[in-house]
Amino acid sequence: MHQIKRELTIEETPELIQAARDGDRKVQSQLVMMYSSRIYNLGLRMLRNNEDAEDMLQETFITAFQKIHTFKGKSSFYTWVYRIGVNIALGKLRKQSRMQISYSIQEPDFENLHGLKISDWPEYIETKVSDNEFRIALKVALDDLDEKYRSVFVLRDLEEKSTAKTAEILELSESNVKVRLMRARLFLRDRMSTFLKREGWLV
Amino acid sequence: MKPKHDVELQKKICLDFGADIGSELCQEVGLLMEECPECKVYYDTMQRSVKLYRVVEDECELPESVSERLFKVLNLDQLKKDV
Repeated sequence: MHQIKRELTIEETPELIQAARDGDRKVQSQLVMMYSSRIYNLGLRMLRNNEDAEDMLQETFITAFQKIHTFKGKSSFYTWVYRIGVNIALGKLRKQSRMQISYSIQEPDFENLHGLKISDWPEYIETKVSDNEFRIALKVALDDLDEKYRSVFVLRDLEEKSTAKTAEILELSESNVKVRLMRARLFLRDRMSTFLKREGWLV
Repeated sequence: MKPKHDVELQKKICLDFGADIGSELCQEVGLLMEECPECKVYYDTMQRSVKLYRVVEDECELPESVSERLFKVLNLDQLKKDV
């Protein structure tokens, strides 16, 4: 597990944000130092590669400082920057999705599972997480997940945002967030089961 | 002996399915899970896959080179060392 070592923590006061809005470069530097790591990680999770995450990080802060005069303080500065980051990432994903293969997402239908042989995963699976091939399989499955499901999965299950917050950030209804999240989880679960079977870890 | 209705499991499943606790859909799904071992296994493995992702997709440290380029592009590189 990695630790964020370089994250600066200072209190985000209205005076601090006003100073940044007034063009105080030192305060702007502090804000970048405080939040850049979290925005970069958001980019990595959504965009799936280092170069795109770095582009997204730079575009996010360039946009934030260009538009800082429009920040009304209704949310924290971090939440506002985070939303800018999500929108930039979504824009990039939409451009990419025109060129990518789309994998079909099955409707979750538990009725059809009755009587089927569904293999349980052995208890040691969690210990395999340090296995390189296993980690790659997990990452590839998330790479293959369509962006409209992946963005919900990233915000809800990885960034641990609430359903309401995810809906607000992605401009979706809450029920839409719930449906997409369930489909994303089922897709990832099925991909992992396929991998585990192929590796002979499931009977 | 397994209780007839596992209330905690039902609540958890309801939240996952986005149904209101106590709603007809929520109760139906909860009962289905109790009556259908395959569904329960499917549900449990889905939960485990989410936990695996939380480990694999854990936050990483911002690389120094990425941080340097960010400060440069924002014309803040002269101030970085003072922060």
